[in-house]
Amino acid sequence: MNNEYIYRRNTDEARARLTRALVCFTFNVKENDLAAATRRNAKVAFARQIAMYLAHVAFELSLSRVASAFGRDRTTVSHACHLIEDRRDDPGFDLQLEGLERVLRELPEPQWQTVG
Amino acid sequence: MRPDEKRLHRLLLKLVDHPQVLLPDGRDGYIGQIDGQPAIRLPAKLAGLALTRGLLLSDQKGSLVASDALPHWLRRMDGARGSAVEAQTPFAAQHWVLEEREIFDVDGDLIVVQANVAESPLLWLYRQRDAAGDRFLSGAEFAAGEKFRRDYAASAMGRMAASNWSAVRQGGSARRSASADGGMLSGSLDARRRVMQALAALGPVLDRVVFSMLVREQGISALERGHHWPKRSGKVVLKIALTHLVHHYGL
Repeated sequence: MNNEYIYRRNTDEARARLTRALVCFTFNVKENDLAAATRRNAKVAFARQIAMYLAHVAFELSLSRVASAFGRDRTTVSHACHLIEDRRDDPGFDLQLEGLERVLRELPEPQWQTVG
Repeated sequence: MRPDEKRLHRLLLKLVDHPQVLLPDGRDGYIGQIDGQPAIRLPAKLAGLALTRGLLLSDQKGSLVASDALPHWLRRMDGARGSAVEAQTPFAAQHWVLEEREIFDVDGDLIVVQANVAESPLLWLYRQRDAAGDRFLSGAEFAAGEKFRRDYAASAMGRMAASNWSAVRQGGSARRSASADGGMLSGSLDARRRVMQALAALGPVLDRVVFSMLVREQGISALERGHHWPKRSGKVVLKIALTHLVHHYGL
């Protein structure tokens, strides 16, 4: 494994943490629940799907990169993106997600030292 | 439908309401502004998808503009979310203008169906132009035919024997629905009177022509066969009938 791969993986995971924190802040769920390996309840699962969707859309990460950053399967992320995209037909929800998307987009690119 | 396509659909819908160009944002994506604010961000992946589908075109300066194909694609995407028939045949459905109509099914029950207004014989004939680019029917003739069709639909003569039980089923709002039906009844009686007067003004042969073309929506050739008229004479007869209607309605 080369350095670039590790660097990319680290920044992806940092982006996932950030997205999770934002979603937890907005939708009032615990960060531990969102990062858990199990599903937890419906509210948490939905918030997790939103987080994965946002990571895919706002940071333009591929589905498999989102999957490894969130410690989930690629098809789980794909399902989440399908589901959230369908839910965005609801204008209120669409507006809310648009705001979250914008927040994540306006953040500066990470400027980390390459891991040695 | 793929999520990428859905996302693209959502973003491009905003573009239709605010026609404009999308400018490159320096990160392979594109930005569209609404009221001076950056409102649409099209990521590189979606921009590529839109370009390969021919929905957007890039101009010399490297920005993107909507193509002629975009409105049709948006209509198809809307259709895909619409009724099952529209979803099955999106390319045909993008040309439909759907309207609800009450008809009798084979068992004699009154059912509500979706009709494609865009393929009514009258509209089809109105759309035809000769070699010089002139329409066969004038606007007034088309309007007279449409007025007759609307009157007939409003008169509810197509379901003369049927009682309207829909108000009974609604329960709770009995008083309101009763008054609404009373209003509809007098309206339909007026419409019925107008239809009968128009048919009387047309006379014994032309009334049948108008009826079969506008109400039954039979094709012209079926009409010609039914009356043993020479081929391609039917539309001339229809034009004469419609001219009578124009005079009758005073259009």
